[in-house]
Amino acid sequence: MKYSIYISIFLIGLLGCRDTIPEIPLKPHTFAIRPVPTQTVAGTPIEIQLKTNATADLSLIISNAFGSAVIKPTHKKNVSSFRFPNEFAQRSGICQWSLVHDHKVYQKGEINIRPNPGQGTTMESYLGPRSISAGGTDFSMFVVSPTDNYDNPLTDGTEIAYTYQFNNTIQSIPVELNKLIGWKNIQSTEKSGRLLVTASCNDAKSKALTTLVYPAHAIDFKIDFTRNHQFADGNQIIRFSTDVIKDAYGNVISDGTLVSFSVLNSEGMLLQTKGTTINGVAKAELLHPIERENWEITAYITGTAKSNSLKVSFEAAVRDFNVSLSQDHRIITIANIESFMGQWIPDGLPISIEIKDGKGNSIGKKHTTSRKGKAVFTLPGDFYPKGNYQVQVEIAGILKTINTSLQ
Amino acid sequence: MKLNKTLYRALLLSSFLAINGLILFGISSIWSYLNTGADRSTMLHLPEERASNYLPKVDWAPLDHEGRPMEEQTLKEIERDYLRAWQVRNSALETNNTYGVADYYTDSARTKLFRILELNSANNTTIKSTTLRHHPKVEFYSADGKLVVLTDENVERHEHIYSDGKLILSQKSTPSYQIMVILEDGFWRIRHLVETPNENPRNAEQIPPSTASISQIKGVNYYPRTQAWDMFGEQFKDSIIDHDFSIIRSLGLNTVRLFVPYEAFGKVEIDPEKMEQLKRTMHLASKNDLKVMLTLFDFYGEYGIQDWTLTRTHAAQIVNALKDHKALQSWDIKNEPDLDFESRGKEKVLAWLDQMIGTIKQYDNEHPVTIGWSNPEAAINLSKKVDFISFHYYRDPSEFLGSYDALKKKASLKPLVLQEYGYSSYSGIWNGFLGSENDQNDYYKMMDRILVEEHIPRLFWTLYDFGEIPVSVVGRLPWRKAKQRYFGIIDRYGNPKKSYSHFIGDPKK
Repeated sequence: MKYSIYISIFLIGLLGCRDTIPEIPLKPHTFAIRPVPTQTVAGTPIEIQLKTNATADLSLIISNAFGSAVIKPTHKKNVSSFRFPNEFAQRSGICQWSLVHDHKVYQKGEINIRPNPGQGTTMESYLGPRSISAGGTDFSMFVVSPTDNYDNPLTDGTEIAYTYQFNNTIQSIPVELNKLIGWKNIQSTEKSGRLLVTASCNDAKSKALTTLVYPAHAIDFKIDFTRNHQFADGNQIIRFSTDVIKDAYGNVISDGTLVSFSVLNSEGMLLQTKGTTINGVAKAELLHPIERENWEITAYITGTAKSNSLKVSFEAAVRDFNVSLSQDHRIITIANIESFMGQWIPDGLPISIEIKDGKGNSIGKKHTTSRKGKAVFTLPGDFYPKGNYQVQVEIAGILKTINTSLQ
Repeated sequence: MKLNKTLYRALLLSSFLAINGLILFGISSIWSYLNTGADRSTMLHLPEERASNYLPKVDWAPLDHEGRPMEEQTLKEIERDYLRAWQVRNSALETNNTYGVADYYTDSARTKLFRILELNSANNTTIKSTTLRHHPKVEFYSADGKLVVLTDENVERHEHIYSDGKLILSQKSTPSYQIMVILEDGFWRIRHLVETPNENPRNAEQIPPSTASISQIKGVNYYPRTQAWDMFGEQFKDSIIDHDFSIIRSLGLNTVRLFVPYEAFGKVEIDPEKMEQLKRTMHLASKNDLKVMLTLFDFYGEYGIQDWTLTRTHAAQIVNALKDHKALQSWDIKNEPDLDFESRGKEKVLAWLDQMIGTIKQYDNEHPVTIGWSNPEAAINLSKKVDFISFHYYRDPSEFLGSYDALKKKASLKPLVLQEYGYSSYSGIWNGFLGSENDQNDYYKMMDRILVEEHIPRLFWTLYDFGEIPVSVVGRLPWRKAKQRYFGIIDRYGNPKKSYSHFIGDPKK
């Protein structure tokens, strides 16, 4: 009971210590905003000033395409002013602002900030494709996006002068900026070469950009050949070459174009050799055949052009040879293989023999190559027992048959 | 002494086991670390799979542009990167962190964004923002396929601006943009982004949908007897619903209120099976001559601005699928959202509801839209935005007219619907065995007398008593669950309760 008095005194004390809640005057807030421009130029300071009796909790929310921000006022006398930060004042486009007090928007508006090319223009240029083919149908597109000093794209209708140079001609064409960019198609010329383009806007110049006009597709061409002699000695080289291959507009086709030479021989087989062009001429080589042949040669640039057909014939180089047998008939010596001038044929001529038994059935083949106009075959006893055989020797398409009986 | 010995033994044994366990754990950690090699694909700078957390509606204008013809594939890539650019911009402004910005903005463009981030970071400002609709149009595509100019008019943008952690303004705007994107390292990066004046604003006045049928509503909030708050899924049975609907019809009622749970329906990717079941339910309603008030976003509780494009996608699919159904009567955006005011923040919840009304009206302007507020006092929120006002009332019938009139005065002639009312006949340990079916019957008699006199459209809660109440409905507390189980006019075994006769005998049948 004694304590209850203390407790009650303590409780009363607590209540007495409570803060009195200050009366908030319910005066209506007034906002008198000085006129805000609706148009301005990037980089110009923007300030919104107002007379208000609500200074606390007052803020201005501004947004542009990249984001929004909250700015607080500075107070001078009874005027509150909001200064737009550079991030907003320097950015072209619509900038929206709302004056907010206590979650409520008191006034809002938007400022159309225009780019400011007065302080200089920067050009950004894009050219592509960087290589086109001659003839006027292909083109490169030149896109230019001029910006002001603050990287704001300039307004629609700004004039951009496109200039391009080819050989001795320089042309200039004006284009109007539309939706951030100005663009122009640069048609290829009939002549191959380098096309230089550049653009200028206000006082700014872009760098010169290059597009290469490559020759167009090759048109049909002619081929020719050279050789030392017409004999099929399997040793000399025949050289094919094209004339200067050009496109439809008279441009020499690009170096490195692959030309394939197809050779159809007498047996209907295809031989092939390839060459790439330099200054429009492609060259390729083949070894002479080893026996009489008629070749028909055509050259192709795959999918694009072909040449005339060329006929070349080769005469047999080997006229005759001797075949001699050893005493036991087991060593066959082929000698005096003579070439077209009576000289030894070049080393390495393929020589083959076919061995048949008495009944004419083939039982073996042997190959060798000539050396110093000679070749030797041995028929060992282990493989070829005693008896009658027929041996057929073939050199450069010439056949000789001998009947022999091995000892 | 002996005790000590045993103690030591136990200690030794347990420490031995513990050390062994630690060694094994260590070895296994090393083993698993060595087995996680660097993924070779990380060497490539690939765009990450687009996570489905930002899905605004994108309506491309028909292709009619200068320059090279646009390829379908390229357009898809541009859309992906353009939306990503918005997504990283939104998240950068929210966190004042530059994460991901470099992938979607070129060098000179990103510095502009970074400078705003620095400013906001210094001023402690954060901006939660999202865009719900884009109307991009290709204006130009360069011949080499590396530069595109787009315009995007009337982007629906919502922003919540926070200063020092406090929300100072929520605003919606519909800005238009000119955008130049450049293909760099396989990304379509924004080079220029300029806001332009709106030339053709799309805020054509919409004719509000007819609310004539609202005044005729006499209905019930419906769940099947054994599937309380869990109507769709494997347990869905046409025959049960058909039977229940015929009972509802026989009671002289004309409307059922059904619920579409947000998560159970698959959030962004609607479960096609459940969608089909919902359609079948609608067909059955139509067959039984009933109209359906469809409550969306049941059990949804996120509301955050980063979630808005997802809820938009969810709503769009359901609204588009059902808006032409003849059984559909109205859209109820959410059940009792005012109960989330405290936990989620009133501003946040209202902002979400507000934009969702707009979103639903974008897809369906024929059917009226409402929000199912939990009491007449809360129902004044957004009352200017909804087509009719819905509220629930579980308090004393004698006070009903007072609250109703108060709401009616503020409602500026919008139709009012008593969307839920009812009485639990629970009699048990938690209420001292004081409830009874008679009380429930008396309640309905009293309420309906007022409602009929005042011509108030109404839906009562509910047809059946339920055996089990999911935890997510009223929580775990047994006295709440118990009460919730006895709101039906038919008991959980299918026998009519006393109040059933009240509905049978409804003079207005």
